[in-house]
Amino acid sequence: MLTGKKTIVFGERDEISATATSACLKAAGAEVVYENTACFV
Amino acid sequence: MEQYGTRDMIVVFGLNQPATVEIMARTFHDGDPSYAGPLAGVALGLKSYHILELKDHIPAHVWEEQMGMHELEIEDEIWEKICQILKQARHE
Amino acid sequence: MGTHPVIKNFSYCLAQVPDLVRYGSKPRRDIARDQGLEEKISRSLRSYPEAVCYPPNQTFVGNLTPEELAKIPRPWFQSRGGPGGGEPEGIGRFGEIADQELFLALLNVADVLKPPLFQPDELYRVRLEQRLASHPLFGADTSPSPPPPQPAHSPLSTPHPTSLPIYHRQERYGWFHRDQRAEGVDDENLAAHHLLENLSTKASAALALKWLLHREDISANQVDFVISCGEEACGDRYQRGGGGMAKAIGQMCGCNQASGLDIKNFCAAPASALILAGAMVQSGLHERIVVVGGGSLAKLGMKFQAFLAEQMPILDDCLASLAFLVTADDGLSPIIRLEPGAVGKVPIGASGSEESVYRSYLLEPLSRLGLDFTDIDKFAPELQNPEIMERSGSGDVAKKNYRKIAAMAVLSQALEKKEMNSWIQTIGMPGFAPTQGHIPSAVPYLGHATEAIRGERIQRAMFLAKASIFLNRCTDLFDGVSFIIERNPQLGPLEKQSNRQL
Repeated sequence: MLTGKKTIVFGERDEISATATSACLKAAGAEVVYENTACFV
Repeated sequence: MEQYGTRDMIVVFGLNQPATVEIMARTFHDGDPSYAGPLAGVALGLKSYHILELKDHIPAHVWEEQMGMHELEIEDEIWEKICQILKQARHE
Repeated sequence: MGTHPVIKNFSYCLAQVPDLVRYGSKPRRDIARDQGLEEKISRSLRSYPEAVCYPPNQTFVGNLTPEELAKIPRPWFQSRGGPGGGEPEGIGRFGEIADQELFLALLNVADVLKPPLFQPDELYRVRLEQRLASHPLFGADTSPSPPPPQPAHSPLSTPHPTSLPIYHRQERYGWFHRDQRAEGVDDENLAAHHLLENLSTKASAALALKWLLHREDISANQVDFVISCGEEACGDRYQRGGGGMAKAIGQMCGCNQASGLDIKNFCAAPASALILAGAMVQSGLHERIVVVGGGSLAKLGMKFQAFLAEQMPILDDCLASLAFLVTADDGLSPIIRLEPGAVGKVPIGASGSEESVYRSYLLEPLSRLGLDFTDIDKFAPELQNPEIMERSGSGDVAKKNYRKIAAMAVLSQALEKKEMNSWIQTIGMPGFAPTQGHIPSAVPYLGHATEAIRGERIQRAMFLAKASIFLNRCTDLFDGVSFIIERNPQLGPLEKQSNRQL
């Protein structure tokens, strides 16, 4: 399902970082085209 | 978006606040619900997922390392709410 | 004498500055796009008595314990009355809640530039000087300046177009200018709002440092070294973020024998500064070190939109500041564990996943010290007031971090998943610090923890501070810093576990 998909990733510092989400997506063969980890504090 | 097109594109959240997830998922699918900002009235039709929904598609060792802790920290009640919101936003 | 550095004393202060909310980063940017917004913001500001009554503020300055706060039903902003039902006071057990005029008086003396940055109209300049002269901690070293050369009511000549009007309760007290000297006049880093941000840090930090000296009953000259841990960036175009805040604060408080420097580590800077202060004391380099952090003007009104939408008062209207005195072992005060491996760090290579981050700065220090999760009576993570965070969709930051700590306890088999919530009730507390970046990061509990340890209610507490260092746009890393404080071993062990009131 994720192979070849282009992904936009939003994370949050006190929830799940975009970096961690991207690591999973890339391992599943997806391409990350935009990634941002918000810090609300 | 202009560079990549929306075909084969999805949005993936690592966000655990249901209200935030709902606004963002709707915005990416139907356009900005507040009719403000660059996506006002622009229905991109993008489907949004929470990363924890995608467990079955991620290699197990990577999942364990990256998400093992996050699976535990999210409260069951909030998780159910997020799943429901995202299914609705994807029109499933 | 033992060999551990101790947290000898502490102070916590707030300055309620509703009329400076407009100069917070978010309101300032939004007002520039929407002229009518400033008026809407003005209508939603709190009064000083409301800010004083506010239970999280009472907790920050030590009049309520976090445990007492947890029992007060929310919404807290509708709560009235102090602890025990009495009238709440601006003077706290740990410091004070300064009103806006007092803060402007501090800002006035914090300004050393000629021509000045903050230029009150003459009438107000005299009023601000009198205000400071009547303050119990600042009065003694304040000498009112000579009478103004021009008539007392004359307003300033036309200010520079970029100067910021400074208000107090609808009255314009004066102007805050950019650096107007030839060398600074075209430097974007020396714009009025940047310099107001930096001078606000200095003024609020000085208030906390004065309270620290007062609480410890020492003279300013007895301080050897000052470490500032704020998030401001002082400096001009050739050294933006150069620093020098510690000595600026020390100078304002008369710490003439002290040197100092600034520690930068985003929100975790206070934790990093305390660890470094402890290490410097332990090495014998300095005897009395002050760690001080001033408030963040940029973060005033950060969540104002949610408050306007819900027709609530704007609750992020306070500059917060804190100060700690770190000294050699006095045999009484809580010690900071600084033996090898005791301090939690996140190695660069461990930043790949959050679990490895927490393994590094939560599990590893515990294991190296031979401690279990159950040996820590209280954990202090990010302690942002949830009432400010939740309404803007950011969630309860303290709770989210307790869930992470508990998840790690489950992963390390110290806890069952079904026990997470009840365990968090025991080791946790509600957040009570204003959204002031570095200020809420674990250390708001340090004063309460010191009291709880001295009062034999707890034995040990662990402080976990996070730093979003990826916000510097130069890395994608995340940082965490942790340390443990505990009952001074020279006092002997706590008699009975059952005496502890968690």
